Formats: sequence, C-alpha cells, structure tokens
Amino acid sequence: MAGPMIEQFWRRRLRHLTSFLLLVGVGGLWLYWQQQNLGRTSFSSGYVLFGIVLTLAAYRLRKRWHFLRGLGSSSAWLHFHIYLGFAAFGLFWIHLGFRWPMGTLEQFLATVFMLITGSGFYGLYLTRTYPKKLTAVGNEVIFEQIPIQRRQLVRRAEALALDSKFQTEILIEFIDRRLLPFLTRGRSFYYLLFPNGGTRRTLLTEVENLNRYLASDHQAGTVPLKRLIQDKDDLDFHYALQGRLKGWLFVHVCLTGVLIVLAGLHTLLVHVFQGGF
Amino acid sequence: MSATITITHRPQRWDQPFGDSTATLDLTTLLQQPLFAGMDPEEFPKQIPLEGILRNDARIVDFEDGDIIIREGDYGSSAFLILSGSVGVVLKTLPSRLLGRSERRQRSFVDSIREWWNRSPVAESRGPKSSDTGPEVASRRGRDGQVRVYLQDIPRILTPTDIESMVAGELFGEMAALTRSPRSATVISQGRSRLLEIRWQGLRDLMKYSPQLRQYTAQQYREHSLKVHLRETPLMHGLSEQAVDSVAHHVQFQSYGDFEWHQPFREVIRQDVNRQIESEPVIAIEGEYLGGLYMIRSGFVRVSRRRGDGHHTLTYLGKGDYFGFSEILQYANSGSSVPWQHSFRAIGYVDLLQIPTSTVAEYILPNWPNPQLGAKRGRDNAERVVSSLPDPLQSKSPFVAPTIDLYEPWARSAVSLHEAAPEHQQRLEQFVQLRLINGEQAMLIDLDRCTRCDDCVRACADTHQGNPRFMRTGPVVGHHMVANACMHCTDPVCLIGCPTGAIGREHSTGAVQINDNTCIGCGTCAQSCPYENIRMVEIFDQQFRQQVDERQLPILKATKCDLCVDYSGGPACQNACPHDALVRVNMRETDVLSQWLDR
Repeated sequence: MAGPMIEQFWRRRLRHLTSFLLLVGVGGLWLYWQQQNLGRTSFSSGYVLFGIVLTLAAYRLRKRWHFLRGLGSSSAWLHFHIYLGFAAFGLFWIHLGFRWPMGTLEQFLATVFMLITGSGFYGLYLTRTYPKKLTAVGNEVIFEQIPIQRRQLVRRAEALALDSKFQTEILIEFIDRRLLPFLTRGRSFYYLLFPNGGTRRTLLTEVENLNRYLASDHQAGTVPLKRLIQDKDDLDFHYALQGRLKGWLFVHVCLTGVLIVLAGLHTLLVHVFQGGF
Repeated sequence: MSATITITHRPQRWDQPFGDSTATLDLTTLLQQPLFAGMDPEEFPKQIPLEGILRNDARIVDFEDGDIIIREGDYGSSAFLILSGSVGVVLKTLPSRLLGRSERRQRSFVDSIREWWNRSPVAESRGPKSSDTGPEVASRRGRDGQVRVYLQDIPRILTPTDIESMVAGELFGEMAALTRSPRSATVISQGRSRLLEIRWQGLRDLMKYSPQLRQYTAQQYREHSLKVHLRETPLMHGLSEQAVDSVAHHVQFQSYGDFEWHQPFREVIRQDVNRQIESEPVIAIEGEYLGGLYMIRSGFVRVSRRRGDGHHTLTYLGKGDYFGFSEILQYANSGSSVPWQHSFRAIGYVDLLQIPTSTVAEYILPNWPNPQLGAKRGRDNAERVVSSLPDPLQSKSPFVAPTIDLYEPWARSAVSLHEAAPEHQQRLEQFVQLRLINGEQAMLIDLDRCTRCDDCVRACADTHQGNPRFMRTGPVVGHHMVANACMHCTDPVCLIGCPTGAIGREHSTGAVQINDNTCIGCGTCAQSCPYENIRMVEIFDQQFRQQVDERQLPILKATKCDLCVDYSGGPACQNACPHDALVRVNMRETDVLSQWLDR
C-alpha cells in the first residue's frame, strides 16, 4: 500500500500564496485594461464577484456530496475557498469603488457580505487556534456524546453519595448542595462566550476546605469529588469550544444562502435599471 | 453470610476438538503415517500427548477432483498431510474469479452519483442480494457437507507444467500456518484425496516435541523458500549461487514470543513501559557477545538502549529488516570483540533467521560494497574472523558498548531519534507499547488541527450504508490520536479462525476486507482484533425491519474500514478532512510517519 505524499505546510502556503498573488495581479490588470478602454468595470467586477461567491458556496456542496470527491480533496477546496475569499473581499471594495453603497438593498447586501467575510475570518481564527486548546484539556470528547457523559458524571456523584466510605454529613451535604447542581446544570451564556476556570477553582477550593471538618480517614473521599469537578469542567469547556466551532459555520453557511439570493436580486435590478449606453 | 456459587466446568484446551467427529480418525492408521511413525510419544508431555493432539487438533477432510484445498494469498491457520490420493500445487497465479474471489471494480463517477441517489435512509440495510454466496464460482457440497469451490475444466486452465504433484505422506501449508503469512500457492485435489488437516496449535506442539518434524519443516523451508528470501535481502545481492546455497545451509531458524500475542494484549499494554520491555523475550542484549546476523522473517523487534535503570526504545524493526551486521563488520575490520550495540526484543511474536558470524564473514563480507571500508578489507579480514571467533561463554559479562558506525538501514532513524526531543522519543515509545506499529494504514488524527467537525465520520457513513466504519476515539499519543479504524495490520490476527474465509487481504491493495456476502456474523474476527477496530452490527432491510433468523436472533455482520478501495480518490475520511488533520499511514514507514507528525 503506497504511503501518502507529505508536504510541509510552509511549502504549501508559499505555493498557494504565489498562485493567489498571480491571480490577483491578472485580475487587477484586466480591470485596469477595462477602465482604460472606457468599459463599465462595475458590471465586469460584479459578475466576477458573483461567480466567486457561487464558487465559494460550492464548497458546501463538495462537503455534502461525497460523490464529488473526484473534484479534489476537501482540504484542497478549503485552501481554494480561503484564498478566493480574500480575493472576493478585495474585489468587493473595487466593485463598490471603495465607498459604502447608498441604496437600501445594496446596503443590506453589503452588510451581509461583510458579515460573511467577518465570520469567515473569525472561523479561520477559530479553526487554527481552538483545536490546540481542546487538545490541551486532555480528555477527548465527541460533541454529541457530551450530554451522555454529563449524565454519567451525575451517576458517579450519586454513587459516591451512597458509598459507605463517604457517609459523612459534610461530604453528602457538599455533593447534594454544590456538586450535583454543578453537574446537572448547563453553564451560563457568559461562560459559553468566555469559557474560564473560575467555577472550577471555586469548587476545588471548597472541596479542599472540607478537609478541615473531616476525620483523617474520610479525607480521601474528597479526591473523587475533585476528579468529578475537573471532568465536568472539561466537558463544559469542550461543549463551549466545540459548540462555537460548529456555530460559526452554521452562521457562515446560512448567511451565504441569504447573500446568494440578495446578490441575484441585485443583479436583476441592476440589469432592469441599467439604462442604455 | 451465605454465598451462592455455581460449579461449572473450567474450560480446557480440547473441549472443542477441531474436527466435528473424532470417530472418523483411525489413530492406529494415522500413527503409522511416516510423519508420525518417527515421533516418539514419550517426548510429549503427559497433558499434551501425541494422540491427544491428533484427536483434538486434527481432522480428516475429503476432497473431490479439482476441489481447491488452499488458495494462493489466503491466510490459513492449518497445515495438511496427504493421507491418500494426490494433490497438485498450482505453479501459476489463477484469476480471482476462478478461486471464488470477487473481482473488485472501482466505482465510476456516475456509479457514485447513482449510489448516492438510491441510498437507503436505513443504516446498515441489506437488500435481497446479501443472501447471495458471492461471485459466480463453481462450488459443490463435499462428503462432509461443506461447500467447496472447485476448478472446472482443469486441462483448459492448466497445462501439466503448471502443476506440481504431491503424494501421500507429504505435508503442505505448514509455513503459512506457523508464520501467519499468506499461502504462497493454490493447491487442488487431483482425483479423490483424503487429507489430515492439523490446526496450527497442534502443529506448533508437534514441532515443539518432535525434532523430526522440526527438521522436516526446516528442510522444506530451506529447499523451497529460504534461498529466495536470502536473495531478496540487500546484503546478499551480488552473491554467487553457490554462496547463497552455503549461507542457506548455515541458517538457523529461531522464534521468540507468543504466537497468540493478541490474547494477553490488553493486559500487556496496561503495564509500565519498563516492565513491558523487560517482559519481552530477549533476542540480543546490549553489551553482550554477538550471536550472528539476524534477519526478520515475520513479526516485530524492539531496538533499545539502556538509559539509567530503564530502556530507551530507538526504533522497531519488521519483516525484511536485519541486525548484527554492523557489529560483525566492525569486528572484521578491527579484529577485536565488538558486542551488541543495542538490545533487541520480540514485540509479540517474531520469526528470525540467524546466520552465524563465521558464515557472514566468509560469504557476505567479501561482497560488501561499502566504499568506505572497501571490499578488499572485508575479504582480507574474513579468514582472520573465522579463525578467531571468541567463545561466547567467555564474553557474557555486560560492559559499556563502544560506539561504532552502523550500516543497517534502520540505524539512521534510531540514531537520530536518540538525539531527538523527549516528546519524539516518548511518541515512539508509546507507538511500540500500544503495538500500533502493526498498522499499515493506521488512521492518525492531528488533534492540534482537528476541529472535531466529524466530516471524516460523515464521509465514511455516506460511503458505507449510512454507518461509519470507524470511531473518532482511540489512544492519544502526544497531540495525535490513533483512531479506532482498521489499521490493515502487517500481522492481521483478525484473520485467524474465520470459519468462512470472509475476512481476507485484498490482493491488489493489501487492504484487509470483509466479504459481506459470506460473513456469518460469528464475531471471531471482532474478538481477535486487539485494537477493537471491528464491530458487529445488526442489519436491516430496506423497510427498516431488523433481519433475524428463525429463532428470532438478530443477524449480525462484521464491519470495519475497507479503505474505500472501491472508490477512486482514496479513503473517504482522509479525503473529507478540510484541515489536513487526518492521514492513513503505514507505521513501518518511519520516515513518512515522522514527516507527517512533524509537519
């Protein structure tokens, strides 16, 4: 079985960046040539931009329809998508003449375009930084299994409460009042926006403080409690980060649909009201 | 306090004899066979008597004219002794269709669209086709009721020179059974024949307690395969026919470790690394006297050096690799005793060929083409080496090994790893500890790039009846996950014991495949896979009705990654990863592996 060809990332980036700059250069020259020949660059740039947007949106189809795998790997499509996205952003401003549009539809269209571009840049940032943060947590978690794992943690906590080794009022009270609510409830919207270890630290400190009230043979009982707090916090962290990794894409894809409809409408209106030469 | 206990029979090795009926075995006649007549029953231990082996680990099988007994490329776990009649070894490779194998056809783009359009909303649904027996082959029921594939119109397919006959008293298939390697040829019955099929467990014991059988199999291997194997080794290139014959004559066969390494695997990997290393059978120990040149016939060998009180794994070797040459070469050039520079231990099970130092010095060193040392020097020293070999018993005390130049191909990566960052060393250590080195198409996921989008899983499910053939879980080494996907192992232990031969290696791609049509859902392969990469699934019809048998028990099928061999463009998982986080890689190709891991 033949092994895969391994290409270093910097080499690939260099290759793609060179191609991208060449493409942009050729496109710029073409627009300049049009302008010099008194052509209407807004039409040509608009059509090219609309074509680029459709091509960018086609990546979704490539991902969804696996019989299209013959058209290149998903990763090759993503690179193309990213560089073409940069090109679209530049062309968008050329198309607008570097001015924010005045018409209501055009303003809405431009806003949607900017939101898609923004979500694209944000997605690029997320996909390049969040995986490392998730890996650093240690426990690998599948997003769809998080609710199941949360329930397992609750069962573990309940089993601890019933364990004879933990039959002290102090520990049972902590499990009942502090741990179980933490394990059963979801995290706040603020946490989902800015995941942090505040609650984890607070609870771990509380567990540590319980030792003051425990006989020495019961102090070992705090170790599994700490483990449960850490596991739940790790799950929540995964939920927040993986949720965001999925969420931005959802927004990005939905906005693309809106953009294509608006751009189509814009094209239609432009042709209806273009007037004669 | 009273406890309820159930007294039950402790399972024993021979609770389930190999044959369906022991009545058909006439032991007196069997023991008169030349192969067994020479064996001394007294040499066998009381708990594993010769008669017991024959009664429980062997069975009589009858074949009709043209019946295929073994197929080239199949992994078999038994050997055959011809009791009566004769069999023919087919010297040419027969088309797959004649052997009852399905010919794989890659799906075209249009096929893929059609398949996607007609896909069933029900996962793991099987249409009426699943009851087919597979490709159109000539088959019939044997006297024992088993279905046998046979060759039709043999004179049209094979000329007399294409077949070599074997007659009563001869043994075949033992090498594939003992080394878990594919059958090297197809064997058919010539007329009616009666064979004794001995499963490998019995064969192993017969070999262990019978020097005659050991000698016989060694002789068979020496005559048929060894010279080919030696000529394929780079060290032997350029050697005359006579020299290869002489080397072959001196070769000794050695085996280390447990052939059924996959059974205790899960306990072994839980051990501390140092304990695991220390429990591995030692082939050679750093600092001790050199035993000769070793060539690996099958299995894996760990190469390590002492570090403090522990051992530091530098690399792992597999089939075709050799070790000990540099030490012999250095010895030949310096004339002073050179001990092993590394320790070599069997990982799981390993089969080795040992060529004595004197033989290497006499036949191989004079032809060593290394320009730095020169062929002449090797030749000049050869005679001196042969005459001055030290007594191994005198050199037993360990001492600090001097550093010498290493010429084995694996040495480069071992030396570089020795100087590599601790995380790289740790990574290799874990790959070996978890036996992931067995993978020829292991699925590695770079968790620092993986966004957990599961596009890989979805692509796999879309390609395989709505159910993914792997799980995005598995051991994590550094920031790389080795996902629970079939690794298409070098030593595919899942192939052992499949009663219908439904699981086997694809000839063209080397991928381990399950024939869904012939899989009976017994689960043997899933239990044997040490990495838990085969799953049994319940199947449904197109109307989402579960398929059950007459007793209302669900029909199961074994499923696993098939590398998408039917599709162009490689595995769907790798193809679908947008972030280049996933790769299918051969763990033996350490250079490619390192390149990918350190991109």
